[in-house]
Amino acid sequence: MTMKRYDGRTKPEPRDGKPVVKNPEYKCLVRAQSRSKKISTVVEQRDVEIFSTAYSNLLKTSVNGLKRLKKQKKKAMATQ
Amino acid sequence: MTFIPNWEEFEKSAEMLYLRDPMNTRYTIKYSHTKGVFVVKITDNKKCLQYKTEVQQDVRKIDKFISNLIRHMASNDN
Repeated sequence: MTMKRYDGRTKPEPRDGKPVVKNPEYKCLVRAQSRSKKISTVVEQRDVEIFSTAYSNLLKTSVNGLKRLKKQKKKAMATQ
Repeated sequence: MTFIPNWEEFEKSAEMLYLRDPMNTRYTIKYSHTKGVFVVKITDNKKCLQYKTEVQQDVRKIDKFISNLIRHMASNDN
C-alpha cells in the first residue's frame, strides 16, 4: 500500500512551475496493490478519522503472521 | 537501500523527510504473511528510508505513525 499527499490536480504541472491548484485543500491519495490487482482512493479531510480507524482495524486483524516478542521475554523472566 | 535497524530512528527521520517536502513524499507498506515480514518505506525521490520488522508489536507503532501521517497529509498545515 502506498499513500501520499494529494492536492486534487488532474493535469500535469506546467513547465513554468506555476501551481495548477490554487489554495489546495490537501487530501490523501491511497493506492493498494496485490499482484496485478490495483485499487486506489482519495481520502478527504472529513473522512480521515473513519479511514484511519478502519485501516487500523484491518491492520490489527489481518497482520497476524508475525512473531510475538514480549511473550518470549516473559518466559525468560519466569525461568530466571 | 539499507534498512534502518530501529523504529524510533526510522520514525524520527521519516517525519523529517516528510515535513521537508510533503507534496513529493510517499509512504509504502508491504506485508508478506508467508514470509512473516512487514516492510515500511518512505521516499521523496531523493532519499529513501526503509524499516523491516518481524515482530507483531511493531505493527502497533507503525499503525500509530501511519494514522498521524494520514491525518497530516489530509490537512492544510505544512
